[in-house]
Amino acid sequence: MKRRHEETLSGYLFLLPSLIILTIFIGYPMLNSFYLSLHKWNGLSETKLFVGLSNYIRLLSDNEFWNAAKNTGVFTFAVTFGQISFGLIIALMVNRKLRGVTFYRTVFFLPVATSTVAVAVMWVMAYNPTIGIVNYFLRLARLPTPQWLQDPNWAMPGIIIMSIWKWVGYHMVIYLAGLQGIPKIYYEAAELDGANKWYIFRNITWPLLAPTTFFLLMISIIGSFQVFDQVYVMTRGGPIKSTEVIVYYLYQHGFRYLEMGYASAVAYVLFAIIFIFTLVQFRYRRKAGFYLE
Amino acid sequence: MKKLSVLLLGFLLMGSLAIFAGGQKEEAEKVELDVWEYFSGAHEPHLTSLIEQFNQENPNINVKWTYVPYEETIVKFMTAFAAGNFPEIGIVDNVWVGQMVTADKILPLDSYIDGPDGIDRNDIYDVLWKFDTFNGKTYAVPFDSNNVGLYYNKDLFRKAGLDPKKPPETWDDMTNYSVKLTTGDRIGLGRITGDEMGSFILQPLMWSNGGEFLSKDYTKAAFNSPECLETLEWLIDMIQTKKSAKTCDYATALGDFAGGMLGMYFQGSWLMSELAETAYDFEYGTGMMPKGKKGIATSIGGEHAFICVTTDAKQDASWQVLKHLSSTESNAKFSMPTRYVPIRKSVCDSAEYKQFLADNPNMKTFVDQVQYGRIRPPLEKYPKISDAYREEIEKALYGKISAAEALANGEKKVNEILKEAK
Repeated sequence: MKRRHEETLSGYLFLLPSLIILTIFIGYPMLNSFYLSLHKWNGLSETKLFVGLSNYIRLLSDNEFWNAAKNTGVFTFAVTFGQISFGLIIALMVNRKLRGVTFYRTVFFLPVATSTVAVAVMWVMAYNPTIGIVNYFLRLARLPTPQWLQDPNWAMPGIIIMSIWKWVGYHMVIYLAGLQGIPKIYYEAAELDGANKWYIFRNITWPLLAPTTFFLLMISIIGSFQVFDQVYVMTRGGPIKSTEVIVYYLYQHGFRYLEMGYASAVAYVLFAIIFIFTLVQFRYRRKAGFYLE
Repeated sequence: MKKLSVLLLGFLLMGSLAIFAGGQKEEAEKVELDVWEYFSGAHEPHLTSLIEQFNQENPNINVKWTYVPYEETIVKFMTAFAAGNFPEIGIVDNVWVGQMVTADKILPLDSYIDGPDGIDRNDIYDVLWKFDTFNGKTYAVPFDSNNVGLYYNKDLFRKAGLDPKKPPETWDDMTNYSVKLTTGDRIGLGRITGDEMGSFILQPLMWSNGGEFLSKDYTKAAFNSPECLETLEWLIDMIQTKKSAKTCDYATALGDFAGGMLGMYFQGSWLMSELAETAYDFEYGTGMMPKGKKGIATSIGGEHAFICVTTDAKQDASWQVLKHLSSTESNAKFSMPTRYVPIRKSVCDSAEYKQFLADNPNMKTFVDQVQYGRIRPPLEKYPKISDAYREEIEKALYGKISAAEALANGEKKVNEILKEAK
C-alpha cells in the first residue's frame, strides 16, 4: 500500500512541471481574460471598471465585429475546401511508385516547415502588382492583372491562396498515410470485377478516407478561425478592412486602442465558436473511433 | 536515480539563484540607456552615428538603440508601459506623443529644458512644440521634421509631353497631368492613403480647399463640410472615373515609383534618401502640394523624443541624450543626408545648409513649403480619431460608399471618440 502511495506521489511529481506551466500560462490567463471581459480596462490603470455583459452586447451590435466574423467565415470556408481538395489531389498524385516521388513529397511539404511570417513576406513581394512574380506570369498568359493586396476585392483571395499553399503539404501527408492504410485487397478485388479508376476512387478510396477527411476538416476549420500571422504581415486587415479577421480585430482593440475588456470578450466569443467545433469532433471521434488511428 | 534527480534539482536552484545575484551586482558605474526608434534603411545609420558619438563623448553613459517597426510603435510602447519593461527614451511620430502621455509613464521635461543645462526653445520652430505640450507641460523634444509634397518622374513627364521643370500647381493641373501620365499599367498619381500617412496626405488636401479636420477647440469633427466633400470627390473622380490615380500602401507605392510605374506621388521629404538607396533609372523632381481654393497646405510631420519615468540618474542621463540629439550640430548632421527638415532655425540659417539647399533643389521645395505647414491635432486620442476618419474615407476612395456617406460616417465615429475622451 505504501509503495502504491509513493508511486502516485512520484507520478504527480513528474506531472508537476507541466501542471505548473499549464496553470500559469494557460489556466490563469483564461480565467483572468474572462474576468476582464466583464470589465472596462485600458491595460495600464490600476482600476478596472465592472461593466457586466456590456462588452458582449457592444460586440454583437458592432458592424465591424460582424465584418471580421464574415471575413473569418469566408477565409475558413475557402481555405478548408482548398486545402482538403488540393491535399487529396496531390496525395493521389504522389502516392505512386515514381522515380523521385520523395522529392516531390518534400517539395510540397516544404512550406509547412517554414515560418508563416517568413513566407508571408515572400508572398507580399510575389503579389506586388507591378513587380511581383504573380502578375508577371499573369501578364505572360495575357490574363488580367489584379492589384492583389492593394484591392479590397482581391486581398482576401490573395491571403486564401497563400494559406492553402502554406498548409497543403500537411494535408497531403495525412492523406498519404490514410491512402496507405487502405488494404490492397479491396483494390485487387475491384480490379478483378473490372471497375474503372473513377469507380474505385468513388466507392473505395473516398469512403475509406472519410475519417481522415473528417480529421483534416476539423483541424483546418479550427486553425483557420484563429488566422492572424498572414493577415498581420500581408495586409494588416486592409484595404478597408476587407481582410480583417476576428483575431486581428481582437488585437487592434486590445493593443492598439487599449480596450482590454472588450478584446477579452471577443476572445471568448471566438473560444465559444471553436469549442463547438471541437465538441463536434469529439463526438464523431467516439462514434467512429475504430476508423481513426 | 532519485538521488540524482534531487541533486539535479539542487543544481538548478543554485544556478538560478546565482543568476539573480549576478544581476544585482553590476549597476552603479555606467548608466545604461535604451532608445526605441523606428529609423530603418537609409536613415538608421545617421541616427546611430549620433548615438555612437554620444557614447564616445560620455564614457559614463552607454546608450543602445532598439528598432521597432513604425506600424508597431504604439502597440509596443503601450504593452511595455503596461508590463513595466519600457526603455528610458523613445523617438516617435509627433502625433503619437499624446497617446504616450496618457500612459502616465513619460516625464514632463520643462525643468530640464528651461533649467541651467537646458536648450534654447526659441531656436526650435514654434509649431513643433505644439505636438509636445499637454496640460501646459512639455513632454517631448523635437528630433526631426518633415512635410508632405509631390514627387514626379521627369522622364515620364517628357514622354507624356509635359514640361519636366513644371510640377502641377493646381488641382486641375493635377487631374490633367495624372490622366496624361496614365498609360496601360502605369498610373498617373499614387499613394493617397493606407496608414497614418493617409491622414498626413488627406488633411492638407482638405485644408487647401478651406476645409478643416476638427473644430478649432478640437472638440468636434469638422470635416463633414462642402469643402472636404469637394476634395474627396476630386480624388474619387481621379481614382474611380478617370482611373488615373490609385491608393496603395507604402511599399507598393515606393516600388511602383522606383519602377517607373507611377507618374506622381505624394510623400514626405525623407523619401529622397530612401529613393537614393533604391534602384531607379530616371530623374525625378519635387513640387509643393497642389494649390486648392485656399492656396497651398502641407502637414508637418516628424519625430519627437521623450523620456520615460525611471530613476533620477537615468532620467538625467537621458536628458543629456535628448540634448545631444536635438543640438544644432546633431540636427545639421542628421537632416542633410536623411532629407529631414531641420528643427532648428540655426541650422536653416547656416551658410552650410543654404549651400546644401542650393545643391539640392528637390529638398529646397520641402523647406520652402514649411511656411504652408499645419499640424494634425495633437490629442491623446489622435491615433484612434485618425484611424476612424481615414478608414471611412478609404471606403469612398475604393468606391464602396459615396463621398458624402464617408464624411458623415467618419464625423459620427470621430465625435463618439472625442466624447468618450472627456
